[in-house]
Amino acid sequence: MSDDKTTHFGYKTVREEEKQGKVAEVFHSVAAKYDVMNDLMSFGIHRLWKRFTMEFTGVRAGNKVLDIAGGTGDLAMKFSDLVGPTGKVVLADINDSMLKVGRDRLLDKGYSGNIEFVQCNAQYLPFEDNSFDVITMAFGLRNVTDKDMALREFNRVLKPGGRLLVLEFSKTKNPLLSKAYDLYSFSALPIMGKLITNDSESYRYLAESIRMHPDQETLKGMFSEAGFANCEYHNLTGGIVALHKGIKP
Amino acid sequence: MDHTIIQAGLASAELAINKALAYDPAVKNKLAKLAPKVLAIEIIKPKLTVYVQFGEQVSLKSHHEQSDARLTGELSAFLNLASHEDKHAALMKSDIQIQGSSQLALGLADASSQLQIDWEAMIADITGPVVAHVLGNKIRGISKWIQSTTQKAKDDSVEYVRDELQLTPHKLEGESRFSAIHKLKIDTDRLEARMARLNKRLQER
Repeated sequence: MSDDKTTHFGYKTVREEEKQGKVAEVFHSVAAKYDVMNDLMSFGIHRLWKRFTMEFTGVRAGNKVLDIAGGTGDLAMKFSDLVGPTGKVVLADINDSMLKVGRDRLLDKGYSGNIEFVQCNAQYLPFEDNSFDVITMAFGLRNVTDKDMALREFNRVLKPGGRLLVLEFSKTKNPLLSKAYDLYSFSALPIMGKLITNDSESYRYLAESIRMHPDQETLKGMFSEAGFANCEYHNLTGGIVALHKGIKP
Repeated sequence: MDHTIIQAGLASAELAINKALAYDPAVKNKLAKLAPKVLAIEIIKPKLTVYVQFGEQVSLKSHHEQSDARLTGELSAFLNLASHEDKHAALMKSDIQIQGSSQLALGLADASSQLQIDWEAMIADITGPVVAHVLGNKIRGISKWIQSTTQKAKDDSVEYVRDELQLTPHKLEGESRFSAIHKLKIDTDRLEARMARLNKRLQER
């Protein structure tokens, strides 16, 4: 009998140490066309979800912000404007391909000075305790192998009173929307992936990983377990996506 | 209402406002001076609060922790306010409640009353100055014609209802009648006071 711990990679069960590598393969494959695919797959709605997230950050000039799994830097760019020259934004991602795309995009747009780029694993953050005012993670948590551990790490590096915002796919309770969403995710997404990035498997993983991700209430419970207070969530687009918020006491 | 729909509405409105302000630098500067203040516009029915954050660009949000001023009222009251040219006066007369810094709310009302978008510059960005000038002249001509026609139709319809159909009195007739009613009211009040005084005297004897 094996002592190996297992986890989900989409609908497949894999050993924990395997998941990170498999997720990395997915993102290496899609990094170059990540933004185009996001716009196509969500019909541009992901911009509205991120806009909603920004409203809850409460970021001000001089704040220190960590955008973990920040990918191509959508949120980091906005944070850079808000924190100004006295603040700091750390754009972090475990995947070097995604981080390179994000870094090049931000530098090409003239963002520098108050932005740092860090390649790191959300489960083992290379930052001191109590060092960030705000942490955001948009569409990244479901790819993390040990989500509880990552949440505890976020809690560790946040300053007391700092807030964590996790934007992630979730579960809709509307049966009609749920059926339409399933049909779209498992039929249209892999075809779009095949056409645009020549990779249908990665987008099949996307659809499967969304289904395996904890629902709103479960994730809220995980926030509390990790030590966050005033935990709440807001459903978006009928619950297809949810924004979870927690404050470090 | 789903947050996504609200965000779509706010993003579109924000884009339109900032685009419009780009063609009226005077009002844009006035609004920029209000930075970093936040005005909450709370519509009671349907329940919706929009936060307006001032700065180089105006930002519209559905959530914000604190606001410097809050306007609360029915949607109809806000629509009515938007339709008035003098928004400052209309805001003071309206059923909209102002909490917090009234200066901020009135500052926004003043600025939006003064908004004069340079449509010609907006068209010139797309077509170039020559075409924009020709189009601008045409648009100004049409706009003048619409204004004068609307005013004439309004005057004619008032005259028709008053003089031809005789459904309403002339303004002077009305004023004279109201003045007579007012005088009668004052006389009645005096008479009432006098009666009361006489009654008191009688009771004293």
